[in-house]
Amino acid sequence: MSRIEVVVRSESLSLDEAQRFCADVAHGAFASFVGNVRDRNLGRDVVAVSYDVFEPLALKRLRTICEETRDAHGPSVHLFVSHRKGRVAVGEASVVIGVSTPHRAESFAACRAVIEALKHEAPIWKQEHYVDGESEWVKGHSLCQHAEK
Amino acid sequence: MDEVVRLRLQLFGALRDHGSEVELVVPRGADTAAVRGALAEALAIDPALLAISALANDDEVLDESATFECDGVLAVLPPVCGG
Repeated sequence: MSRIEVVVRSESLSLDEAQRFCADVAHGAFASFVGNVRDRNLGRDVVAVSYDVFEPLALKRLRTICEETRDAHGPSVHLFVSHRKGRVAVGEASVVIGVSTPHRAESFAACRAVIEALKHEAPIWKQEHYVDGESEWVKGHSLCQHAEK
Repeated sequence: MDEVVRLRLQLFGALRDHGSEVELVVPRGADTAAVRGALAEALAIDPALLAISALANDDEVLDESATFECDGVLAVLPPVCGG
């Protein structure tokens, strides 16, 4: 039976937590994705990123993404998704995804599906903070039905 | 029966540059376009950004055809970029 856990938190994220949640002796594969804040974007030196989250809907949408991924990649898949909120320094993880399945192909595919959907569908925003003291909201993907995708 | 409804709009992402929330009074039965228009007028928000910002409640992104018949709380969601 599939297990799903989605978390949004201000504290550091843990890949170990994802692996522990997904542990299953029937699963021979565990795939993960860790997104880290990098020190440069579009030619500007970044010191940190602040994540803004509409938490009630983000948790629901992330769970739905996981359920859709389970439906597409097998009923026994375990999925763990954690995302930071608030200010995250360069080098720290902003998102951790863990997926386990009986075989590796499903784990790789499901992990990729979750991060791509998260980036396009979860109500989360990031504001980059630069070395020169300026800050800027990063452009993203519209959730409007009428917007050009 | 009031002919208007009061909507408390929570702002996220780039819209936070205009504050974290705002209360609007709109005609009962106003649609999403009318709410966007009232918001643009109240806070001088870039209309191009508002045009691609969705309205939502705690459970779902609202359909563009949604109308507002009673007081409530909404979220205004500019384009997203998590991860």
